[in-house]
Amino acid sequence: MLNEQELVKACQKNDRKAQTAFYNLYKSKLMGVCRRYTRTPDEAEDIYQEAFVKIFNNIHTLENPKAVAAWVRKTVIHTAINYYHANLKFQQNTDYENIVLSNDDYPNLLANLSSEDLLKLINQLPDGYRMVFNLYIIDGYNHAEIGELLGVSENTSKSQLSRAKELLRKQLKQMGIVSYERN
Amino acid sequence: MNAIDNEKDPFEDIFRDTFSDFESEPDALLWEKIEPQLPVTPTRKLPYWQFASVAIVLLLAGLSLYVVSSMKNQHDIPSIEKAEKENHTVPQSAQEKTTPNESKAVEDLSTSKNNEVLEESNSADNSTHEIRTESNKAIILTEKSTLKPSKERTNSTTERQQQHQTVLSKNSQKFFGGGGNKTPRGDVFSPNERVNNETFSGVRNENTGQTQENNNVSSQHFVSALQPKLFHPYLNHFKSPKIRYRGPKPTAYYKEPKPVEFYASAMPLINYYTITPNGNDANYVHKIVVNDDADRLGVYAQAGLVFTLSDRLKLRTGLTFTKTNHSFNYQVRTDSLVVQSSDNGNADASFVEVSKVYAQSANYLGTKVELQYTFLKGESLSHYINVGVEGAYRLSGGQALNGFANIAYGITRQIGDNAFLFIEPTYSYSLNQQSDSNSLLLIKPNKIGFNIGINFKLK
Repeated sequence: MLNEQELVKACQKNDRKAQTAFYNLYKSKLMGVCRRYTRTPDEAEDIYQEAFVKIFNNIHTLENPKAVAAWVRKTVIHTAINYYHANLKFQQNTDYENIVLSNDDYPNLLANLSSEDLLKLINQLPDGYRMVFNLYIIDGYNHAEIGELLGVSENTSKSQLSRAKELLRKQLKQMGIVSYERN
Repeated sequence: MNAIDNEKDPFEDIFRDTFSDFESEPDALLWEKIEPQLPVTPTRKLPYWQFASVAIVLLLAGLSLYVVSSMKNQHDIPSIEKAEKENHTVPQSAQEKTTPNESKAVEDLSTSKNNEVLEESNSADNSTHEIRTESNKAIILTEKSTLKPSKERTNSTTERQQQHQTVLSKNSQKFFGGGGNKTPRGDVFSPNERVNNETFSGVRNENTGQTQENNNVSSQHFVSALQPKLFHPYLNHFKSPKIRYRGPKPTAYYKEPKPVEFYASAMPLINYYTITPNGNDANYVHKIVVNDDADRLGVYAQAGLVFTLSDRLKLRTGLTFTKTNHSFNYQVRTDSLVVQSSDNGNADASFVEVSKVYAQSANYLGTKVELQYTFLKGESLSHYINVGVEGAYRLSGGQALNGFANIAYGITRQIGDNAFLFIEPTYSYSLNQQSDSNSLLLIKPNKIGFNIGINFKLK
């Protein structure tokens, strides 16, 4: 049984069995990342495929196998950002006001919402907002880094994050959730 | 980052906690789409000439095995055939001597006796039957000797039986390796299977399922039985196969390629002569002075292949062309000699100083083999030592074969995807002289040059 570092080394030698094992090890985590950065599952699958091909093609450049988890995550995020840039001109500004989630079954606490419910909210954010929200809130990038990655100014990043949060709160309010405290 | 810098926001925390380790199971079909796009270690295809080499080697091995085995059989079979021939021949001659009356009597008797013997053999002589059944290839040499039924013929019968016994014992000795018989196949016959001739007389041939119907056969003699396992030509050599377990083969993820390169180079050279007196002439040559004013420049071109033997070792071989111009003056001064004449008077032959010009413009066509050892591999430059020998045929200026030992120090640098530039200061030492072997002086055309060339990686 190979440990993670040995698995990386075997993948660096393009061992097919190791590549399969590596894929199985990271597939769920990386699909989770892809789902956050995209509007639809189809887009998520596109990014997911492209990211894995990039990972296996470039894994030989990974000098420190211990950092593989962070490296693959970063690769997926960068692939998602590239996808965002490539499809920027086709993106439509979704009228978030029109998105209505049923609030019948939801309790009035945000913490009680399932991850899938929260994911739906994130997915329905406009693309730019969703990118900034994911990068800043979940993946821990600061505004300067986000500005550089997305090709926008730091202030734009800040304002987009603010609007994203505002939209989410608004949507949650429609669902009857006004309290964000934990149980 | 931001989480540390900012104040705690419960709204953000919930999203962060929910999605920091969020996982989503992808569609199983996605891997099937990804897998074909993944890089794989290139598997080295065996070139056709390697297939051909392997096939030829196997063919030759098979042929040699076949030839060896057939030669062995040829050695073995004649001795058996000869024995059979002898066994057949002698009784026939004996049979010819029998009269027609005797023949008839013999027929009657032989028939009855055969039946008796057959019954006896089949029922009583189990040991014979077992041996024959086991081997299934028992060689039965039939003796065409005549049995004498009446007392009148007792004498002649006794004589023939004695003759018969003589032949049998002769043959038996031959087969059993006795009596100084050196036939190696004698070992094949087991002494345990030596059977009394009488026991096997009239044995039924089971291979054909019929009784041997030789008209005048009155007895059959089982000379010996062959053990088929021992008789087999291969089994003697491969009796005990040695199978060694060497453990699991280590998985090789990456096999270092061994490229083949084409190289071509040109080298301006300066001839550097060694001029020595020829043999005993050294006693008379006092001094040789070479004036270097004349031409001694030349050019050396070569092209060929470089085979990678290992990480640091390469084999370079190719054709060479050398154009040299030799022209120099030299002075030879002999010592003075004291010659004793017949009248015991001494005559002093004073020294002689001879000035000569040696001029030769020669072209050589040769081939060379060199080993190249890379002792320092840098990111941009690699340093190596080249050592080799060269055989060159002088095309002009008197045809002769010259040998050279070459040594060079080289520096190489990659200048393209598959191209390398190399520079080699080279010293070439001539192994034999260029001048006539009968001449007073022997001139060796050593050379020093600055070789510049390019390697192209072919595969």
